Amino acid sequence: MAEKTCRFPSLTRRSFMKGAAAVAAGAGMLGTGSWLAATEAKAAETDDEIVRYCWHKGHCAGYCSLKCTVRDGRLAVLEPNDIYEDPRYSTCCVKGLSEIQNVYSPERVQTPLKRVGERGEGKFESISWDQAMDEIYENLSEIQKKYGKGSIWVCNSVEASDMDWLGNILGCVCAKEDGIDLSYGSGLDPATGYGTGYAWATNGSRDWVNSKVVLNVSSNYLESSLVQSLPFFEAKEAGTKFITVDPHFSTTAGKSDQWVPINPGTDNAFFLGLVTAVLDEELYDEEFMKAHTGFTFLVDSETGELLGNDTGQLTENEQPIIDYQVWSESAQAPVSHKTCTDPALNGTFTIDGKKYTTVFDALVENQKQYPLEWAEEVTGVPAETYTQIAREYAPGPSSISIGHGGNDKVAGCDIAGHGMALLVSLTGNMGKPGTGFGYYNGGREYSNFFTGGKVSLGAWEFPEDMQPAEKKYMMYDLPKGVENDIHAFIVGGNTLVQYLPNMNKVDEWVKTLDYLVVCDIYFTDCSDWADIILPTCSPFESNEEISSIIAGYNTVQLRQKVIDPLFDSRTNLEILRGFAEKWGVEDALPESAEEYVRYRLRTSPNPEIAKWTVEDMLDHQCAFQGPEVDEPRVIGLDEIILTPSGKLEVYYQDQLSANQALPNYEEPIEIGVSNPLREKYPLQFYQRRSRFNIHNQFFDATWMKQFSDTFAEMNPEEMASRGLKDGDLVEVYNDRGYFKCPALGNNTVRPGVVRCIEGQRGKYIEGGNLNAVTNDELLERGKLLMHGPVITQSDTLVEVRKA
Amino acid sequence: MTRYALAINTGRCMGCQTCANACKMENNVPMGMLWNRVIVEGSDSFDGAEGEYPNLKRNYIALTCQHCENPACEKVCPTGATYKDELGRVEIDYDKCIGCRMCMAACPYNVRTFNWADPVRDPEFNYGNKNVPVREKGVMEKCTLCKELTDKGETPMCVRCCPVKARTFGDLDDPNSEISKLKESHKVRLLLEDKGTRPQVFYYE
Repeated sequence: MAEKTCRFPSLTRRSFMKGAAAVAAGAGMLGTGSWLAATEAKAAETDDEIVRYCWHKGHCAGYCSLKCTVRDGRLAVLEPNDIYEDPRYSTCCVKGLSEIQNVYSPERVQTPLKRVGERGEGKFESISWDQAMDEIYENLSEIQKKYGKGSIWVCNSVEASDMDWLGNILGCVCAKEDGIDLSYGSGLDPATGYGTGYAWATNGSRDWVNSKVVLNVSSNYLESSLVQSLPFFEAKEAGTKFITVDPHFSTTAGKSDQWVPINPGTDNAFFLGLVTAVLDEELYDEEFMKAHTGFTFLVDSETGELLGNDTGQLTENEQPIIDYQVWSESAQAPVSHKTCTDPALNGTFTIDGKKYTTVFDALVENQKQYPLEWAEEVTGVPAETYTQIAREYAPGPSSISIGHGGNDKVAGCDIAGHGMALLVSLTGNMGKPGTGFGYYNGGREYSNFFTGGKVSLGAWEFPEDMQPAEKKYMMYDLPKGVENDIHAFIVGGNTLVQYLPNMNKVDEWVKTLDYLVVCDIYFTDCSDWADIILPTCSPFESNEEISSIIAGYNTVQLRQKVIDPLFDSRTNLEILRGFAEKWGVEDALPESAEEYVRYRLRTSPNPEIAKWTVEDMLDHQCAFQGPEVDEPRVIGLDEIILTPSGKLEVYYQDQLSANQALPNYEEPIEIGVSNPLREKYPLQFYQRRSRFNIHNQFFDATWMKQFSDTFAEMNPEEMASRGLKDGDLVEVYNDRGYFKCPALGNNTVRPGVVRCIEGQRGKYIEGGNLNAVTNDELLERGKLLMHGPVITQSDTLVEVRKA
Repeated sequence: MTRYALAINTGRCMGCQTCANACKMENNVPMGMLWNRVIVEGSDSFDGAEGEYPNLKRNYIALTCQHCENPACEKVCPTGATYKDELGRVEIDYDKCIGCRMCMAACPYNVRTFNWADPVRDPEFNYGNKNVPVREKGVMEKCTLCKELTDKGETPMCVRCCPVKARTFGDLDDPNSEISKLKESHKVRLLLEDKGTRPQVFYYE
């Protein structure tokens, strides 16, 4: 390859420049800077220093490609891969840099370990890999013989997803956590049919520059998507107005043009208020509503059921196709929404002796319960602010950005998602530049790890008889005592602790398991319960020169071995092969990481990628990008609206029994203002995301401890009323349990809340971990939601006292 | 002449501390020390703010050696260890430093850091740029503007790693440099201007 760029080879420099010549603004990015720099970097390699490339973490959705300098066999320098011409891709952050220390951390699991004390006591002895695998096979095969293959559950964190092959190898259940990050989406996605409950109908964050307003609700984007923050500032500097709605003065709130402080857990009332403001001010787009939404569908005034004929046909996803009826203005009769060109948006009609109204009129009627004064009372956001935001948002193009770490973990947040669906459907802010709505994880550029799309790699195929067992239970039901036949878990990461609320109950349940294997690089609260802990490698370590490959953000990145495996750790593929040998299926796995990487490239559904070889990638600093990478992702209406009717189905008939066909306000289960428990436990307990961690990762990293420590943060007002000073050891408690850590006053925390950074190691906290106090109650009507009830850790009340 | 300096966009700086760890790595800075860090103006707690809830204002200040034109540290150094070099940087000749810490007391920005004991590195080896001299107990250290990189015309590591490109490095004496243009086109803030140190590092929004 003569060209030293990260562009696809078919797009030579010459043709690319020609193609981009018309776009003057893009010309600056065509300089030779990066590939010259890359050449110099190679030249700088000396005998005692080598340079390797390694993509880093996935669960922050960063996938930073790091240029790693190894000196005397040690990882000595980390910096962004300079092959990228665009600074939005040439990234690394404070966490990535801390790996200089973190990979060598004494907190690493160094050898396979076997439990010698009681489960949960954290007492282990070092054993060999052979002994560890022998014992694992002996115990797990016995359990499978006795209770069936599906009696073992494999659950890996996102970062350890490549360990999911264990489900194929053992023929057992393999599934991630249920009910996480699905609240907003459960209320939003049924209207569009887009996404799978994660609220993903966004454009790329680079498209914010085309928005007049970005309404950022319950998302601390500048910390949780740290390396994708540049588009936020580029948009802001170009005149996009950022409005952040958050109980706390977050980093993102501080950088926004407007901060709207709100009572915790009231996002649903906030969106209902905005819908009212749009209706009051008549800011809706009637043309859009008639053409693309179910606001024109007719609804039975008495039963609340939509008027429609079941066609007997099913969609690809086996959803029934209903031929909904709308009122034709010219025909003065109900006709199919598919054929009607002049549907009425308003009106009451009698059809076959029954009274019908349009969904839009039903909404107008329903919203009378939610005047702006009511919204102000519930949320604490002044009535006039709703009007102001509605006026600025509605004309568009405008975007809505939400997060999964805030209000998403309060019961009833699906109502906020449904309100958001109404807002975008009323105003038509979708399907064009500047109009994303949902969760901008990782900037939502083209394909990312979670969605697939413009660039993708081949997937390894297992034979028919090597498929995981059927999943029969929701994981959160297991600690709640639901009858089940799960006897063992294999866990990659801290997943059981990170995800499950009410930790004392979880502890009781885990102690009833017959066997627990944990694969992890560091000790976690979860590994304390393990029968066997298997030490895994960091991303930088491998026993092979090529260790893995990833596609995302219209980019493919190769991971090289940077250093040899430290201690007695093994790569995930080595561990998988160890299991496969025991279960007698090693032929079904790739023999080496390199074979697997070559297979994934060769079998890529994208013909451009399939042409590339590992050698090409090595020659291009292990990274190259798809042809459309310069354009931010914009999804069109036809890509978003994937409902059986082809319209935005804003009326949720299947939730009629829960009074949620149109969104209706509900108080959160526990933190609601009318809960009498508030007298005893007046504070919401909230676990925030931080720029210094990815869930439970980096808590042991000494380079991160320079900036961040374990604290229970409260407004100085709450500290004073409890006689607390900074640094006092406090007990955070309720009827479920307690934990203890130092208190810290912080004026950016809303009064009425005590908050901690989520995912903290129990070892830095006295008396357990943060989930000791969190709420495990599930919303009864949650069964009607697209993926069932969701977990609501932040719907938790506590009190704080000096320990 | 050359006057190397940094321009820091406070509108963009979001307190992520990537610059702090980038500098720590590149320059082999020991534990308990940072040459470069982000503070919150008017607040003792990180991520705090000025004012009372909900009337709050937060300004992150990425703080490092200001590479002053009239450096207070240089004036008080009895051995000439601290000097202003030909590229406009304030540097330390570690061999000449006798550890008297007069410079530390004189610097109004509190950006000098002293090896009170044998430096502790975690991990226990010399990381970062191999050309950076290793400092010993009894020696003062601080931001060198990544001397080993900028001597070769390269960019300081904090600038290279900043995720939001809030930092610009360049020559204030070159009217065509990006940094000179930023200084020309923006309302510029100098830290503690009344001290008369005439910082080369400047802040803008």
